[in-house]
Amino acid sequence: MIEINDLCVQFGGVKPIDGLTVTLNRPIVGLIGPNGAGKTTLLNVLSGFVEPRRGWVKVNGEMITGVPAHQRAAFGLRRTFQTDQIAEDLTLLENVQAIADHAQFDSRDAEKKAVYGAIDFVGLSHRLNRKGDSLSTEERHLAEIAKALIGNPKLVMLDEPGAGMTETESEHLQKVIKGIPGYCKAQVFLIDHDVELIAACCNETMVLDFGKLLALGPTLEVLKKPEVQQAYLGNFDDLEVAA
Amino acid sequence: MARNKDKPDIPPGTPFQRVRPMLITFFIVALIGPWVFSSYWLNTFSTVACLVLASGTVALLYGQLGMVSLAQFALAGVGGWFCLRLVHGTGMPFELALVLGALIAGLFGLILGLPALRMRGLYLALLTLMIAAAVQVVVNVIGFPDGGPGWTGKVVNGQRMMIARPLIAPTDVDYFRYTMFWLALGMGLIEWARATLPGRAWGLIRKSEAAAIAAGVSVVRYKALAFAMAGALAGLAGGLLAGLNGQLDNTGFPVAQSILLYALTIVGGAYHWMGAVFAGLLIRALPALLNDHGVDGNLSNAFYGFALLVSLIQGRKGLAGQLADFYKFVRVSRIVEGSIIWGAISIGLAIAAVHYQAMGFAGALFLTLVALLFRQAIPGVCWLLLGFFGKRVQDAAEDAEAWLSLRLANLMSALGLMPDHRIVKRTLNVLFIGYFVGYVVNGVFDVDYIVALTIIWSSIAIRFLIQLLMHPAILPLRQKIDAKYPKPFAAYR
Amino acid sequence: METLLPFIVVGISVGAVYALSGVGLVVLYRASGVVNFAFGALGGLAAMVCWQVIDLEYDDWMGWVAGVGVATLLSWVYGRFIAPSLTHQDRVVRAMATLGFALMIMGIAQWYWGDDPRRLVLPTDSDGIEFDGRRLISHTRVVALLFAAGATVGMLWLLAKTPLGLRMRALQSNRVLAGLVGVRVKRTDTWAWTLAGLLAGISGLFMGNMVRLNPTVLTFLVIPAMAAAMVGRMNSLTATVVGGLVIGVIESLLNLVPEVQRYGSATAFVVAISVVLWQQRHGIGLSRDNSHLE
Repeated sequence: MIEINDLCVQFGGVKPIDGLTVTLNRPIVGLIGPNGAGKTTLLNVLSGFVEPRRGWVKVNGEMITGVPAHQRAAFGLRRTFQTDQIAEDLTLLENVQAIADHAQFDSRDAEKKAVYGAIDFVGLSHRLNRKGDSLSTEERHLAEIAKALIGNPKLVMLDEPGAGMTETESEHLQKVIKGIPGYCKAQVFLIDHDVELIAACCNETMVLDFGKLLALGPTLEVLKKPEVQQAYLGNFDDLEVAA
Repeated sequence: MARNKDKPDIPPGTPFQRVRPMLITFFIVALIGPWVFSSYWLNTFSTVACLVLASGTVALLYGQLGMVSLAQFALAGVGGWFCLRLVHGTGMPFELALVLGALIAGLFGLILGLPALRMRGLYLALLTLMIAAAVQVVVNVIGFPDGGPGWTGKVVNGQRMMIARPLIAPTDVDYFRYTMFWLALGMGLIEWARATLPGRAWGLIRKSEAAAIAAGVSVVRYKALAFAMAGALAGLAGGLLAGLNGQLDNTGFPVAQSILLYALTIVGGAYHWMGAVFAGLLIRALPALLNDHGVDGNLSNAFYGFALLVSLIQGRKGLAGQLADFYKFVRVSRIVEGSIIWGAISIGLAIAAVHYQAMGFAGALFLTLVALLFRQAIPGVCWLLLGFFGKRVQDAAEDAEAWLSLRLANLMSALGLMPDHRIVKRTLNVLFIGYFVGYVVNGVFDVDYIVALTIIWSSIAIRFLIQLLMHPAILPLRQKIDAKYPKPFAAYR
Repeated sequence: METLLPFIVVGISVGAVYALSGVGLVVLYRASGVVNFAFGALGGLAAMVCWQVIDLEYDDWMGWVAGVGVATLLSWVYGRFIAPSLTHQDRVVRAMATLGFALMIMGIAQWYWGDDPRRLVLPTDSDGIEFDGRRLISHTRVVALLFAAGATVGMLWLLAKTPLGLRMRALQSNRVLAGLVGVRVKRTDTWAWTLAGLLAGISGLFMGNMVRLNPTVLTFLVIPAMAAAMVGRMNSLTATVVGGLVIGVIESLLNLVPEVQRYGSATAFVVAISVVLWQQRHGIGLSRDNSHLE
């Protein structure tokens, strides 16, 4: 569960987030909005790279604001980045192992299980020993997600994981994202421009526009709201949606 | 490139497996070196070994973390200084002073690294440049300890003292092996770190510091680790230099050397341990060789600048990177075949050389092996060098060669011979190897030029003949061996 | 205070040398994002060529033109033919490439001219500013200082008020975007390198006169120049000039303290290190594009 209270972020004269107050407690939450609406800034606040001018954030009841960025992983926060962060000359296994090196495990076996399990969960077991620079775009995005599932995450934040994927690849991604809460009992916070992906995966969706909350609620309802459509979407009459 | 999707990728192997090839290479060099080289060249190669270690530290910082340190040779000076001071001041055994000096240099490296943690690469490069320049001034003023009083330990009027060689390595031969031991230890430490947890953390940090932080990796800690290691091992190299000569000169650690160390590490290749070896050889052995033939050292500096420029334009993997790419395609059948045939040719030619009193047995053996190695492991070495002049030149040369080769191959098949489509390349390669290896051997070992050329070219010719005779009967045998043992170096990094 | 004055004056004139080269470095950095290690080497070559031309009994001014011309030409060649192959690499790589260029120029110049002691004499050497009956600084140094000031003002004006300067600043800010909106990247870049070469050439003549006429020494003068530029954070021209002057003054004043006098030549480096550490005293934050820390 994410609780945001009166969050205000200011860079000089720009206010990417302006007085945001929401509580998000569905398993998979989506965030959409036009560019410049403050989506990545919100993610940066959640992951600790940006200090809010005012307000606070709690995750699962624990106060997150004030915790430095390098300690947020220990709190159970995980995030992916828009540009992929897979080290080129390490193999996929080494990339994921690198994350596990810095997480807490009960035993070496538990660590091994977590690493191989995460890779298997995203469907990349056949690419264990392939070097990062030889992975395809889809594989790199999936690897990023696998990295985010290591070590008992509580909140997994995905920043445009579907960028550059074809329709088939996107379907696989949908399955993966929908399976995350079941796999590791973490909440998923999904930012993307692909409305189909959002509609298919997210139980509820939040819409930001110019730093302010435009809408929040079950995805289908939100997508149908006239103000959302005007600000961002267009018309989506027939769409497969999550409950 | 075409990839067989069903073939499994080869895992990189355990840390020991990854360090092993390097350790074996150093062991062989340490073993064979003294049998082959004179005292003068052994001392040169001891210096080279120290420089290889120093270059390894530059490669550690640049290859693993993208950080340019132009102060590594200055840190070697720091390590050397403290080593000398401790030996002169306390009379402790050399090994202890060496290690303590290295630790102190590591501390310096750590302190140097602290501001680096907050800096983008360029500022770090400039900062380390300033530090190297400051060290040069300080060293110039206070000099290196040589038995004198006071905290500088410098003798003003009177006999300067040198430190003795370590007890277990008094002679030049022993000291060479001693240095190679420390080199193996130092480089082994770096490669081990690369293959385990630190290397993975560095990989994450190198790709994106923000992502590393978000994943809970302490960027500060791992950058500090890299700086401490790089500083300590550079200090170790400096201490070994002090032990080699018994003293260090206060003009011996100028900024220029630190800059050159960095430049040649890039040229050699910062992503592979062989790059450090190339760098060490280029900094020390090549100028020595050129000096023997009267070439001005300044021109070699100009050449290094050119090489640096070209390496950076072409993509920074350096000579070692290009070599490593070749290694991945080596097959077991070829290794077996090569060993048997090379052994036969080299022994045969060595016996002939002794019979005609042209050269010593060991020398001729060594020369044949080197010639065959060059022909096999570095196909088109001259094309590699052409690459220095840019892709366009290389492409144009390749086009011209292909045109000529095709004409010649057609001529050969018209004459009823088996056409060889790479005849021009091979011929040029052979000529080049002959002149290059002959030049080196003539300069280093004072072997008669004609004798060297004869041995080199006849070894290659015999090899070619054997190959001609074996083909095509050998093919099924090769396939059988390869099917049983897949490529051993495919995962080689 | 009166005893300090001559030292301060000398210090300012020495500092002018650093300031002048520092300005050249910062201008090129602001226009192309490249820290030019070859600045000193180009200057050294200019000084040697100038000396050579004068030594061959040509007129002085021909030597100056030849020297500065060679430096400008080589810098243009680099900017036009070599720098474009590197634009897609990061700043560190591009800076290191200029290092390669510097080594080339230095190596060839040092090989050709060697270590023979020579002097580059400028007409302003003969007169100077007197103080207490003693000559403090030659007019050459005054001219150098004036030139540094003039170059700074000129470059500031160029960057702020001319279309070329605007294009340069656009390139520095975001190269790819600048190209996309129609800035002629190659042409602007080439102009930046040409101007840098011009500045390097002129500074080189002054350095050759005031410091030493030796290619290697002149090449490595780029390091104290970088120290001055670092004081200016590779950005502010005025801060660079002030930094250079301050370094010069401190270096000169250190001559009054016998214990540390011999370390005087390390002043520039120590100042640069201290300034950088001071500038970095705040914490680490995320860069604009979320890709790295700064």
